Amino acid sequence: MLYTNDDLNNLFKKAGKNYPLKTDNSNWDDVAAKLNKSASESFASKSLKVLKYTMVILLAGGSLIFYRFRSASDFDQNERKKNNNKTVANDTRKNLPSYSNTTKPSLGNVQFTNPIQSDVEKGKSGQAVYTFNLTPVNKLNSIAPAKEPQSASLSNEQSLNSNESLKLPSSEKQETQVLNDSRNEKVESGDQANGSLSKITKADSKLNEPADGTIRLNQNRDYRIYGTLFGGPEFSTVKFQQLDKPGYKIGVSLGYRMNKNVSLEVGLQREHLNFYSSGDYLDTTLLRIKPNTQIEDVTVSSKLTSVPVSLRYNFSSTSKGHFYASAGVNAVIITHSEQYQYSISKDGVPANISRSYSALTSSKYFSGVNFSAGFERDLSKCWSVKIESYYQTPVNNLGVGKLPVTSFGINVGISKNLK
Amino acid sequence: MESLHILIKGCIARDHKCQRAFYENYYGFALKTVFRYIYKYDKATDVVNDSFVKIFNSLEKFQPSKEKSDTEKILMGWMKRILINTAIDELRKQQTLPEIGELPEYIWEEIDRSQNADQKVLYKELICEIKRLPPSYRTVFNLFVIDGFSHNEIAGILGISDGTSKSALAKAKAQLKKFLENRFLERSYALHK
Repeated sequence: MLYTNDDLNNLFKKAGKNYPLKTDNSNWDDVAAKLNKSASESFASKSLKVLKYTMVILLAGGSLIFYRFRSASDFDQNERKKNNNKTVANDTRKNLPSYSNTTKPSLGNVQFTNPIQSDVEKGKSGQAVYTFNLTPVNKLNSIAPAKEPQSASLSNEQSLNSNESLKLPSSEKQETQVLNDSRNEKVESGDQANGSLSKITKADSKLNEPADGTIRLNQNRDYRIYGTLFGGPEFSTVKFQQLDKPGYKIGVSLGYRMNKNVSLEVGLQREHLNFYSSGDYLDTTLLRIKPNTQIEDVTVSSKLTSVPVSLRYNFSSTSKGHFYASAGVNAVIITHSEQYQYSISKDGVPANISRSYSALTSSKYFSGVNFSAGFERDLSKCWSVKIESYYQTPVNNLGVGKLPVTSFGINVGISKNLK
Repeated sequence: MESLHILIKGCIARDHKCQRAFYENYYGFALKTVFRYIYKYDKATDVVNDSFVKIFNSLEKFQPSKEKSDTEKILMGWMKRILINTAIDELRKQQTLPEIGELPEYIWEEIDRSQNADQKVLYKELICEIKRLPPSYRTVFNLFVIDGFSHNEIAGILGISDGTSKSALAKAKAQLKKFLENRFLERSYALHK
């Protein structure tokens, strides 16, 4: 045996380290390309993750909206079912009740065989207006004055629908009734009617305008979902040190009105922040700074995307708009790129250096709390503009330097009611 | 050693200059490690580049020693593990492909007539002989004898039993001993002649 086991092992160990292989064919470009590919794949996977979270948030919001919308429509359906049972007995339009013999129409001289929901409200002129909300019925059976029960009736096929309201002004002897139903039929009766409808005409839009002696058709649609495009300058500061030049914010949001005053909004916004910080607040773990280098201060320019989620409350309405306040969180923040301008000193010698960082930090969730307040003015039924001031305080620190960045600014936006 | 720490920090911060310097510095070590496992030279260079991508992407997890002088040793051990894992993954992928053809001459350094010339020739022949082993024997031999893994660790890395690892090692050693004995006999015969 020429070689012992140990000899053999040592020989091959040395051979493994020192064998004469050519190693001058390194190809950095290939590695750089692979690194870029892996970084973009990593960014894509991060984006996918963010997209997933956004989808979850939107789905949750959508489910809430759907649930609210459905429960509201269920409520309407139940109301309709209830009102369906309130049919009016007997006669029809051929023999409308005549009020000519009565000095003042009142509930007392209009009789219903089935109960009909009625309201009494004051007209503009201070006159009493009797409003009857009649719901879809197959037959309007009877509207009969107390003293002349045989003559008060609407006939057969004619019916009144849910939005119908009957106003009976108690003004002098001239009474006019207009009945509006979903087919927009207008029915009037007066002294001359003698128990029959005097006119049935197609209603036009003017009928919806409030006027004495007419039945109002309330067609104000309740929009629950709205979209907003907004943007504006943004000022950022670290621990309320000095301010740098303003950045900007631009984004879109989708809102859902839970009720008249409260809305839930989810947005997607792109921000460009500029801020200054003393070196004391900087975490240098991820920074490419040589040892023995002291960072005096840093000016940062940062580009990021975030997904804010907020709850809005309308607290003061005027005829042309309303004031509101909102509070929420930044559900997701993705930092795309950061430019750090350092003022450093090494061995007492000051210098300025600049570093760029991209996608070094992973996405952060629920990293900030937002507060805002503003005024929204209605332009039309669908469109409105808003202006608001906002304040965003950090929960997690931002970027490669892990700085606690506080932001504030003004947003101007335009909103459209969608559904 | 301080420059190594700076280089590592630069690589963590994705500074391409630092990454390039790091790559150039350790490319030779990496290629020599991987080439023992991967039969073809071109494939080995690809595996080395893939390994460096993994190294750069996970360098944040590398924990350097407090003793600065030990950092390079620890770093090379850490890198070696990544290189070997990547090479073994590649071997698994091309398990069905036969390793045919002689190794070309251009992959070897030119050996001048220096003091170590004979030694280098011997080392080259030994590595060639290792590469002639069947892939499973070769991998176990490399892991155990040259890279210093235990049979238990080899079993974990390759997904085989300790016994299989020991058996493969014994067969590989027997084959290499035979080669060395033949070579010694040839040399002796040549000298006597």
